[in-house]
Amino acid sequence: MESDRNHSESVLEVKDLFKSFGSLWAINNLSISIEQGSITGLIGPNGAGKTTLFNVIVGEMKPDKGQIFYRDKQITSLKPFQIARLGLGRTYQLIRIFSQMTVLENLLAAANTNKKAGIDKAIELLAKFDLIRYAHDYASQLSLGQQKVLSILRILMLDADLLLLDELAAGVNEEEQKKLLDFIRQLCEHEAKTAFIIEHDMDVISGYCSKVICLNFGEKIAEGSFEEIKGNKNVVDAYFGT
Amino acid sequence: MGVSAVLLQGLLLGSLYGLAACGLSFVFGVMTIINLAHAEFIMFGAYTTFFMAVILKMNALLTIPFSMVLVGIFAIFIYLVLIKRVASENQLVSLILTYAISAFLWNFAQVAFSSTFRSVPFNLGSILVFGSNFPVNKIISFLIIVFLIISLHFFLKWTDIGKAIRAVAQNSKIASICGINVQQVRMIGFSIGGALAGVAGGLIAIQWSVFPLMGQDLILKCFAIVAIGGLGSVPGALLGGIILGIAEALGTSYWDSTMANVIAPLLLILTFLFLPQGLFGLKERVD
Amino acid sequence: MTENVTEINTSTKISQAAKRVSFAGGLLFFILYVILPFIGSAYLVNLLLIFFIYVAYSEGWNIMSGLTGYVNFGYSIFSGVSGYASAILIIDLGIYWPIAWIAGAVFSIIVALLLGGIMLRLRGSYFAIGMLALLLGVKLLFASKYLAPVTRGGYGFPFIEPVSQTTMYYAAGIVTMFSIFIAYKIITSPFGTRLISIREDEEAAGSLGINATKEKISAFAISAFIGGIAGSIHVAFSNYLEPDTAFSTQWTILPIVMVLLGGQGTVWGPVIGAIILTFIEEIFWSYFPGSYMMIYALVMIFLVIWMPKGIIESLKDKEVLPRTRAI
Repeated sequence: MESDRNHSESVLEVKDLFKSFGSLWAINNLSISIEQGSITGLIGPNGAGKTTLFNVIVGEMKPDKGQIFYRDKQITSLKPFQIARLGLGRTYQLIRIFSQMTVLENLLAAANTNKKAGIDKAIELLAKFDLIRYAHDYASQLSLGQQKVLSILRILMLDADLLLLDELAAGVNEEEQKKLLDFIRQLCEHEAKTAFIIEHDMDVISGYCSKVICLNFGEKIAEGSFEEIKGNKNVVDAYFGT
Repeated sequence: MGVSAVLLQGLLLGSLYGLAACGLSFVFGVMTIINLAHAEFIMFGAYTTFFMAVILKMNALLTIPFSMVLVGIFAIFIYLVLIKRVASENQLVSLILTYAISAFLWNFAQVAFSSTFRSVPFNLGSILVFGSNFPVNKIISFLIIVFLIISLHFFLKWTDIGKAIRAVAQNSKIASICGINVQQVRMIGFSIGGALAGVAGGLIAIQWSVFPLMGQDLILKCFAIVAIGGLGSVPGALLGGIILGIAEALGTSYWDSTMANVIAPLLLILTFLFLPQGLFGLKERVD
Repeated sequence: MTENVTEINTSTKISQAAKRVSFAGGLLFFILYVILPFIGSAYLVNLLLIFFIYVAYSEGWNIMSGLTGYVNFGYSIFSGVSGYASAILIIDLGIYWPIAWIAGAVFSIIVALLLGGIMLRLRGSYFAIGMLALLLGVKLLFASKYLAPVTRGGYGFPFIEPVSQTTMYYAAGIVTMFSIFIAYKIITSPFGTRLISIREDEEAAGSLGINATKEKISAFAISAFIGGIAGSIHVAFSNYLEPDTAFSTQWTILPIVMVLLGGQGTVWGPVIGAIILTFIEEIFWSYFPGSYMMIYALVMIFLVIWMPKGIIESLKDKEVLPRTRAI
């Protein structure tokens, strides 16, 4: 079946990854596989290495050892802009939108086409979230929830199909959160996108993720569905200590 | 000139360069501000020495403390009126501000004192070392510099203010939580940087000439030194100064003095590219 | 809904009336520019010539440093190199002056491409100071005996370029209009948007697929070209060529103050800045010659602390001017 073939195709492969900062191993022998069309959750206590993993995947940090494959293509030594152009989009934990630029300009910056095509595409995306009327406002004037939407729309302008989302739900009210995440789910189910999300909110994880990976001290300590993870002793210990 | 003599000349020259760069590095260490007007502070010190020695007919050495204090006070003024207002902005803003302050100062000097090269009489003869004649005033200058740097080191290590300065240099947020008045410490730090510049200016006035554009020549050498030694490191500045001094002395001896002047900007760019934290870099590269 | 979409599709929000007024104003200025040598004094032509050089030079600096935020303290390298190249082509090889000027500017582009690859690896303050160092290095090189056969070394040389004051005036006017046009085209294009995003957050820009190095080098090269032509005209105008003035720091401060005053990253900011500062310079030159640089420095100090956005952006904030990048 079509969907079976899609699901067995691995979009992202992380193999034997190591990343250290001085004598601290932020990522310690990590291997991960993300399947096409899935929403995978990445959890773990603070300092477990989740954001570092994202940074290494998108090329903002260089790993000590290991390899990263995007659709069977080695991306370990590529520069961030090259990786982004291949289709990996990431958002940051602390939103990094361009605050002194308008909403429209924020989107246009990511476009790789001429101006008219870029504007058309941007309008289309803004319309989906009823943000057209803010197009010419400075991005700093949007609410936090709207800024989070903007950061996702930016990577969609890139035609990114693997979305690395870092704590999307944090600081956003429930209604906006649901809207955001339903949008992500819709992208993954109907528009051939894949999402890898870092989250602390377990309701989000249980509600949207088909697979969950738990990290602690840079190592993978558990992997499976939310139900499987929930009762895992290692995971509970990691969060609450022994 | 034999090699030993050239090296000694480089050492004497380098110590002066090192002192000049010291203040710059120190200020960066305390407040992560790159003071492009630092060399004009040196010029201020040089002119102070010139006026006191030539107009007031004071002994040149005695003018040095005056240069130190005057520039130190001037630095406090500059800090309170101007620098403090942009201390919280990104580093480029303070860079442009100090660039403007420097431009004002050297243009002011040009208008007020004219472009004439001035010199300060301070001749104590020379002594023969390694087969070459070395002016005694350069050797005295070297001794003064060594004494000053050692004093600074102990000041930072043993006095309360010194410890407060080191605390703020390491982590101003935590220092503030510990009850240290960070603003005041920054002001004092900037003032010490100015005082060091003042002494450097006085010593330069005694050995070389005083003219409005002297800062423009010096500032790049100071940056090269600070880049080599590591931003924020005082011993690094001294070491970097000596390295540059020796390099220039060798360059002048075996090549020519114009090309010797290219060494500083060249070293600066190479260091930025390949060794951005310098030899003793204490501070993370800040953008 | 259709109304919203058409409004969005235009990047400017300038009303029709405002557009007509600006067009009329521009036309009037253009007519004055063309007939000035016939109706005005030589002094006035001279003044406007200097003004044109300042505007072009500042627009060039603005395109790189105003947009990307990479403060170029060594901008004189381009005008100096181009000035030398064009003067030598005219004097030694007898090349026709417009070709020599453009050739000089092209030479500046080459220098920019070579240097840019190296220097633009440096960030923020490191880039600024590095360019300052490079400027000094280039000055020493041009003064040194190694290049002296070509550049005549540190003392420089006097020369007269076979161009009349009036012709220079017209040429400078064209160059200025061209530079403003280029600035407008870049700032309102996706290229300009990408450059501004580099200033905002270079790393985040990278995560959006923007090749910051390539964009920076492109802006650097364009900036060098415009600065180069301005430099060629300036050298023709001064009739004496020496490293100290061709590569002077004074000449670097000028565009920085003008752009800061008018508004960095804006199309007309450098023009406003140039108008005000040329005016100040003329006044102070008569009463306190030699002090106008001090005034520039003071203005710069004031701007950095109290009006860092510059005039045009401040007016946009107060809604006196429409909030569009086209201005």
